[in-house]
Amino acid sequence: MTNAGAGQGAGGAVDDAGAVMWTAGRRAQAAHVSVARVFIGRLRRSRVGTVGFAMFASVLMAAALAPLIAPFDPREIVLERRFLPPAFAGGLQAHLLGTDQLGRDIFSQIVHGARISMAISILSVGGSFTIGVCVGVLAGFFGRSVDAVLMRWVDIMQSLPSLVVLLALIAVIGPKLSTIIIVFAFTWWGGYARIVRGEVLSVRRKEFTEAARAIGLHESRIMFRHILPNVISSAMALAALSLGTIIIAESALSYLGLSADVVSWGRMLAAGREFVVTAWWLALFPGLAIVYTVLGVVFFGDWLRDFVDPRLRGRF
Amino acid sequence: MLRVSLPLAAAALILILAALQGGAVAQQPLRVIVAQDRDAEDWDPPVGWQTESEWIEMNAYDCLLFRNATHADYVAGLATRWERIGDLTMRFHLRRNVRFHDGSPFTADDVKFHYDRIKAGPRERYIVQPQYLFFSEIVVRDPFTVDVVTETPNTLLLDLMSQTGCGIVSRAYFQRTSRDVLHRAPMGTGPYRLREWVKGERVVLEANRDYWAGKPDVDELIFRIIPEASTRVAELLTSGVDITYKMVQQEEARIKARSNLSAVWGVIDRGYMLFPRIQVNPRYRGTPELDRKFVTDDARVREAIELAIDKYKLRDLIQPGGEAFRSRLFAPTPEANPDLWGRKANLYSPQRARELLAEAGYNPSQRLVMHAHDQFPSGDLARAIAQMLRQVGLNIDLRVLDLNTFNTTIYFPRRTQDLILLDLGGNTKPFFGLFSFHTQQALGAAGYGGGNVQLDRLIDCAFQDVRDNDRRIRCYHRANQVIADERYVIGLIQTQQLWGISTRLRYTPRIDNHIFGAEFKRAQ
Repeated sequence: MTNAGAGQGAGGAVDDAGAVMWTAGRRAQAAHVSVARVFIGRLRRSRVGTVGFAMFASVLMAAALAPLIAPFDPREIVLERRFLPPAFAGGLQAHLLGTDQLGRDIFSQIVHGARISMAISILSVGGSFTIGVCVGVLAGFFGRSVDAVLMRWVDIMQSLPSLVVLLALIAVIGPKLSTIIIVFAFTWWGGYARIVRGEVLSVRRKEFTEAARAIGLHESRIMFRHILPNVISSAMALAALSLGTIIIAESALSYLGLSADVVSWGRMLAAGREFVVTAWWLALFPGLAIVYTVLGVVFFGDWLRDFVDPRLRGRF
Repeated sequence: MLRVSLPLAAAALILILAALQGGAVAQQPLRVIVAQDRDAEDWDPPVGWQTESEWIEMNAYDCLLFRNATHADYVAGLATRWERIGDLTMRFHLRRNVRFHDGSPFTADDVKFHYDRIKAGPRERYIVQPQYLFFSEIVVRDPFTVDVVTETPNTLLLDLMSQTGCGIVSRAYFQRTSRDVLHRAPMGTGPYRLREWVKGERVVLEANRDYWAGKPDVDELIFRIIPEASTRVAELLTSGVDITYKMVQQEEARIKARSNLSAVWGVIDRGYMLFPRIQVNPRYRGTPELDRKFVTDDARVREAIELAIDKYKLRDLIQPGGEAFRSRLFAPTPEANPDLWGRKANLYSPQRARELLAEAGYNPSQRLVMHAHDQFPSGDLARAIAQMLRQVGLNIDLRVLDLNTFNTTIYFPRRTQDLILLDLGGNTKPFFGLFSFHTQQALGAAGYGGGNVQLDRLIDCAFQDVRDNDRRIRCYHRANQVIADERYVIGLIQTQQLWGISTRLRYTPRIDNHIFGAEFKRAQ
């Protein structure tokens, strides 16, 4: 075999890898388009998923449009209108869900409270998702000592009781929304890391990954441009389910008075507990708001988890 | 064979059963369960100022003297009588044949040890220490006579000897054990002994059958710790407890609907008040964090704050009665200034408040940070007050904190707050009315009192004139007027407490809200 023949053989291997990459990329593009269509189609065919999505979307809309939807300033105190029952229970039409012990409109507080719940839950989940996915991809891709160190770090973080950490920080810094978001984000990412790591371990031996290595792509490009899109869906399902958990955790904190002094469902519940018998609407409606939101998240998250289940991918 | 008439036998049987039943009822011990929101913290009386904790603990102790239920007078305790010997000495004649719960005798040595311990002890432990700093010495004349000598003439002696920290602890017990033991196991002469303490859950006290004033009616006094007001009410309505308090006024109707319960509103010696930050105390000049200008330094701003608040509208938020006030001494205490009490104390005038702010050159960009804790109803009152202040143009940054964070914040001098909303007790006690405003005695965090020479002189007169009672009272009245006019404290409303009490008891709540089991009587 001449040198020319050997060089031609090496160039041919590169060409083959490139063709595989190009084909895999085209397939991925086509797959992404078809996944979106399948996603919507599957969602429409699932009653539970649709209902869940609609519930969660309605809360998001309410949070986004709160200043437009709420008929009153949620903090406006009108002492002459204290303890008005809901309109359907003999109260005023202007106050659909009644007023509280300071005459503040309950409906307006519910709508504005959605902003706090949504903001904290989405930002916390977003933060923990980002951290967890990055750690999982790194651990799964590099393996060996990197994997060992990162997974031990995950073990440590998952053993930290986030609420205890939060209480300690609140005692030092004071109750701030940013504190709550940061603590949740930095203590809840372990689950994402584990899931993603497992997926990466199975994906990193696939041919498109090998092809990417063969054509000399940088590792970071391989991890985040080629592997990540194939492993992220399970983490997204977990994120959807985690939203509900964070909403409840935040409500519990504000119920205990350990959140910032803002209009929130938890604080409404706490204020309403003194009047649970004599003015039941003060505690009932924020409680229902929490249940409604978390149910929506759970329904949608359950459907999403089934959607990303690889055993069901053949149906697509 | 003995013939027995059937009706006669039946009548005899009924009589016998009735006698047995009556005997059983007469022997049945009386158990009273009180539900309150906070537990005992420390069974050593001079440790801690936490009111609800003290209410439990003082059932195991006696003081030399007490205040009666309306605080109109003093009643004898471990001292049967007292007399002033010169300007600096008060002599107490002690009760004989009194024993501590372990059977050891009570003597003057126990009194001396008690107060010497407080004076000598670390300030962080004995929070009541400032009350006794003017004591020069305690002199034991004989086993049942003790002289309390002060450094300067002092009119507050009886007041202070009957206040928080006055419960006498056995000297022998303290020296035999330690403060750590005393923290959880009391040793006093009181009408009750501690039988069981499950922290956070219940305190079980049993009657002291050898009590010097006679065994109390209530054989077993139980405090159940139930933080939630709605739960306390539920327990009361279902006969799980016999007495509870600190409920929202909306619960009154539910309690009254029960034939076995009575709902009682009692005014107490607590009141809500605003403390504006005033950097006038020369003791704290030069402290970097504190040596700066505050918006509330300007007396016109402080006046505007008081004029912006409708005190009776605030009151109606939480209770049906209770008066507005402008000084920390409530009627009918003789030292209280009647011009600073009742309708005369509600100066609500929002228009005048706006004018004053304009005169003071107040700029809405100047933010006032106001702190309150979230224990009901303080948080709601704070929000209502903040709204009233904003309506006259003040830029209020309200921070309602959980109780622990709040306590840490307001008592730590480096944290600055322009306004603090507090509910404080002891407002029928002459000591609390004035001492925190004296330059040399200003309590706790800087910037809340002191630096007013005229006020210092009036307080000195009020505290030291032991010879002319009328002059002493005038000094109190004028000192309170100065405090009110300068708005060193902005008094709001006197607290009224709703009690739910089982009809099987006779009990009238005290003005200081103390729960003394010995004052519960069986209903006829």
